[in-house]
Amino acid sequence: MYQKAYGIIETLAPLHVGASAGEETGNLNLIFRDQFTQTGIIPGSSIRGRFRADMREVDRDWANDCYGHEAEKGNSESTTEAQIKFEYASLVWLPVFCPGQPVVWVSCPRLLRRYQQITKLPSTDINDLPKRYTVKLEKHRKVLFFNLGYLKDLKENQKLSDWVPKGLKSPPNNLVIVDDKDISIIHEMALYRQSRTKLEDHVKKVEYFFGVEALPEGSILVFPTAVKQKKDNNQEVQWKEALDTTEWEFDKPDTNDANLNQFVFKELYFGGLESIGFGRCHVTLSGKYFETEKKS
Amino acid sequence: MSLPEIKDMNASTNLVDKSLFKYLIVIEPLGFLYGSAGRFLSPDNLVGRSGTSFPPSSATLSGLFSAAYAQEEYEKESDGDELKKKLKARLEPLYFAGPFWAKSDSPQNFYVPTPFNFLVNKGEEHITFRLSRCVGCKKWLNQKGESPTGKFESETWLAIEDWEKLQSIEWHNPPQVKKSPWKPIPHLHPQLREDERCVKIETLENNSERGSLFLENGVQLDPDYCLVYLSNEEIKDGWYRFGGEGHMVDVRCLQLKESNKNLLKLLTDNVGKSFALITPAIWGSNRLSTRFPAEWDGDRYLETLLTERPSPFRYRLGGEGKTKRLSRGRYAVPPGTVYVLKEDIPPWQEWPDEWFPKEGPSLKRWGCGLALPLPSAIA
Repeated sequence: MYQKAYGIIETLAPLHVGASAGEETGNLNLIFRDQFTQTGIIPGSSIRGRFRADMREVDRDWANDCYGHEAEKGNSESTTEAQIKFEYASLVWLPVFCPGQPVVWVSCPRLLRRYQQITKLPSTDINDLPKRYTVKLEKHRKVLFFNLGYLKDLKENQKLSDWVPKGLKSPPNNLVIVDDKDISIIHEMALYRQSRTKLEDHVKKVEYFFGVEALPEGSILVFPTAVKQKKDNNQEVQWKEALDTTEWEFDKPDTNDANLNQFVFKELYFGGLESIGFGRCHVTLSGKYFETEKKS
Repeated sequence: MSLPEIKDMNASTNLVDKSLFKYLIVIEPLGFLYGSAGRFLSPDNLVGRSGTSFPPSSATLSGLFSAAYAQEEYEKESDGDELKKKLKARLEPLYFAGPFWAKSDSPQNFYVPTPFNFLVNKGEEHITFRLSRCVGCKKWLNQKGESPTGKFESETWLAIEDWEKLQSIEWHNPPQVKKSPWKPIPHLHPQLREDERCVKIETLENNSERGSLFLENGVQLDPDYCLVYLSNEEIKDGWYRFGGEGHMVDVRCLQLKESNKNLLKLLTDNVGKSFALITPAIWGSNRLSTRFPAEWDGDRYLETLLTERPSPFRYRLGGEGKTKRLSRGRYAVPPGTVYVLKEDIPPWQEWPDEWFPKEGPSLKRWGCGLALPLPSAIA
């Protein structure tokens, strides 16, 4: 059995994790998507790669211990299993431009169900998933307009804020729940899209162009993290300590609620196109594994 | 009131007591799962996803149990020999069966493979034909007494609560079947250079270059569904590693409900003369895979069987040290196979151990050949 933890990713810039130029035959670089909701995801292997690279600069052996040792050439016995496992990050709230609001964060029961399954927060209940077409808006309206359509007959539900993760840099204030079957079209409207060109070296002439899509800034995602209880030699897995040495900040939220977890947070870059400002994220780690006091 | 009397008053729990399987292991993925493409795959036979194997077999669940039990025992006892003995004593009596799947909100009504004598027209969900064995004319005929032709759905699943409808000789209300609730997701894992976000390229000795892209045959389960296995022992609820590529799942252990009388009855009743497999079956010896146990041969038992092409069956045996051993590659009679015998035989859990081959443990342990009674298969 593994100890439970989870991470919340809040994008501070557009985030592109998926195909890069050259991997696809077309000229649109798509992001990875969930097969059932068609919403963007970050694969667990990408998250692990980012964490490993973060640690590797400080202590290569420790990084190999936590995140697994790759095979050495000609030595099949050289791989080791990671002590920390990551699964893919799925959206919890997705910001969409909406005239008059001006941005609303959209989710659907299916995405919230995964959030609940991973976090098991007491304020959220799997049997009490928010109903579709309920909202919590600063200025309540019954109808919301988007680029391609509108939502009507919206009902107010103040409890929606229970489903917003704690410890975010800029928590969303306008929340909307849509039907599972509507989330993919809303996701299409919300994606950040950009055409990019490569000019010829000496003339200002387009050599080739391609389109890129990305999750917009302000997207909130969740991923599960499983920490092995004990290593094979019965020693403790020292992940918390590893995070400490790589300048993750440990903090308890400013509240008297003893049930609230200890948070660990840091800014990390995920995905491609980092050089043009893509991929900056605020990552918060939390969950049962972090609830026990950090060892000194 | 004396204790024996209290026990008698609990007569309603007798069915649970009678059943070998007492628990439902409910598995909900936390991310993707791995669909093995490695069954009998060789460099000469790289045919994409052909033969992808999903969901994980009950041998995989058995591995999950033995890893968890080993951890529990290790915490209590660190003496090597004593630990081995205790662990062996806990692992030997384990029995599993599966794989099945269910809707997350009703795991007790799980889905099992549809028997091959029930045919569903392509693109439909209702069972169209029921084939029954006409013992006199030695043919499989449908409910109108004809041999149907056409294209039929393959790999469909049926709710266990509907099994009763299959058993009925009457043909009023044929049940619906479902297709599997998972989708393949080929998943590329590039390895990046340490100092740049570019795919790592190695230069080999002969100066050729080798990239480091790794393609995983990932599978995503519809989040409204879960995988379900039967087990005779409990496991603690929690997060576990399951089924390859280090993927994590949320495991819940539920008791087989007394209210689920139909299932308990199916598991404990004699399978009779005609029955269908709901898990793959391995018969024969370690070297030879056959379509039925040797004991069923001849005049006493086997009348006929209705089956499809065999499916490869292999699992990792674990073993000691770093090197893990693979079991011998075997061919399994696929779930859905219908057997018609000349004599009644007892429920699967009472079938003698000699019918099952052994490779380390008896293959009965992985629920091989778990059969449910299907009297309607004889006309």
